[in-house]
Amino acid sequence: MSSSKKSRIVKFKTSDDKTFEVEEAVAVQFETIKSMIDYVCANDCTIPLPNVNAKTLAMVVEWCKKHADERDQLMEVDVDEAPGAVLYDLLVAATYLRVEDLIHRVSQRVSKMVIEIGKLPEEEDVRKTINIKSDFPPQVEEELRKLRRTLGPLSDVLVLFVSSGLLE
Amino acid sequence: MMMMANELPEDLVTLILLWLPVVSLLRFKCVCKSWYALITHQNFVRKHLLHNKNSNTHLLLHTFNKAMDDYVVYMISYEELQISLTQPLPPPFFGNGDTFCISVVGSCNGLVCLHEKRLHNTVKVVVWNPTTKETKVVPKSNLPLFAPAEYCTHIQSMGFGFDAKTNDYKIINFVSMYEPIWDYFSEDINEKICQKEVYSLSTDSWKKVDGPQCFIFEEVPMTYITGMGSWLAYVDYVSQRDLFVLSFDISDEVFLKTPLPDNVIGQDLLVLNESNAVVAPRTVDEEWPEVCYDIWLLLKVGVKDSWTRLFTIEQSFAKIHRPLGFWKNDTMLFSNVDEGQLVLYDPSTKQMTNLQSHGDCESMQLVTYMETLVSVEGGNEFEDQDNC
Repeated sequence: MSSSKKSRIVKFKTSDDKTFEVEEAVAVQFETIKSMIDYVCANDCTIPLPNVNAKTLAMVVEWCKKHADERDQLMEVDVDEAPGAVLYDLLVAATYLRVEDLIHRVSQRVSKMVIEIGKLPEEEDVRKTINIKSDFPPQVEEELRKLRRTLGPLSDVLVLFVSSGLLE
Repeated sequence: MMMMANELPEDLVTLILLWLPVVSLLRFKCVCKSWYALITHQNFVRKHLLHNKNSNTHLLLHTFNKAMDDYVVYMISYEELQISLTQPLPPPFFGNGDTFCISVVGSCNGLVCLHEKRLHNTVKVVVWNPTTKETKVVPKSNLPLFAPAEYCTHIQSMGFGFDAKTNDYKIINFVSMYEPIWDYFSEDINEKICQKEVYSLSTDSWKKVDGPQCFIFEEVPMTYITGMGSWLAYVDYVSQRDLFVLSFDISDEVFLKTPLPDNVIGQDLLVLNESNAVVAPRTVDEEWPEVCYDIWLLLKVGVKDSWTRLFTIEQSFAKIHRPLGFWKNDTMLFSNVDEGQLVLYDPSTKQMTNLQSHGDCESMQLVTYMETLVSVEGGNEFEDQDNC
């Protein structure tokens, strides 16, 4: 291992069992492991990342390599065109490693998708798309359906539910 | 797309939902119990407010619409100055037509306080969130109960604002009490009792606060700048009238007086660059009835020497009824006399732009507004102390 601080390498092991060598300049941007870099390098340890796969880590590293002012340009392509599943992995990785700028960027991108989902006419379609099952009592579900048919947008009827105690 | 939201930890869900506009969030409340709980939680409401503070500014124009024969509010996007939405007032008022006079007391964090008057009597005060459509009728003040027997009471002016220290919204009432034998219009301070009281949304009750004896110009709405409400006020003496800006610290509940610059007769009080600005007419030439308007900026509340004369608007446009507010680069929004239209005036180029809103110049009021989830049921206690 080199004694020069600049060329130190931090080793990671991803969830799919691949070993990654990351330059220190990049690794310090991972807030979660920043404080353990000295120890890890001195003892030649490998940091396990149980919920980040190799493909995702490569994207995170790529993001961190670019200077802050170039990031938006780079990620405009990578993040904006990535499908939901990739974004999900990226968001989990970014939060686990605590790369704040990346969290910001990805969550904003995901929110744009979520806004579109929110425009679906049926509640059930919304739930299917985000893979959530309704846990409202059946009578609430039935009321929601009925009221929406007669009153239009659901947001207006929610007040009724709260006051009727159905959601408690 | 598979988002696997059920596997996403709650803090990640929060991160994503913080970016959503209020209308989307209202929709997502219906998805499941945990999302309902998250979106309605006081902490999320507060985080969402702070997260969107700089990207979510609108102007809200309140006016009487003759075609609809009722009061309406126009939402105007701050950046483009385009009307994005026209909506009637909420159910407690809807359909009351022109029998009553409804004015906007103030707008703060997405809540709008409305005041309904008939002649000089207050009929109703309502707190309204135009985006979630929630409303709350504020209970009647109890000060009149303590007025001396036979006295009339009258709410001169009101204010509305946010107390960041206790996460609470407050309404201020300026009440005057007088014996019926005195003329209502009497401006002798010795003939009237002036009292102030404060309403807290979280406790849903009024309490009396002490403050200086003075009158508030009823037709001049309050200004609200981060935790401080201000009004144009006066006290009449035998030979002169003392004019000043009366400010009220919403958190500490104390009043501050700032006298106007000498010989300046303020006509309107507006917000400019997060400070109070007074619009004061001045005669250009004694032989000519034309006036111009001086814009004075108060840099520090309570300090008379901090008034600065910013610029003067010449009276080259006689059809201007009343200044309503400032926009970017010191441009001003006026109501015009003919059509009850909102007009943008640029003092540097002297250009006027008509913004195509249909109202009535007497009732027009303009406040800044943002879409939030803030509940009209009042700020709950803080559950944690993080301030993000």
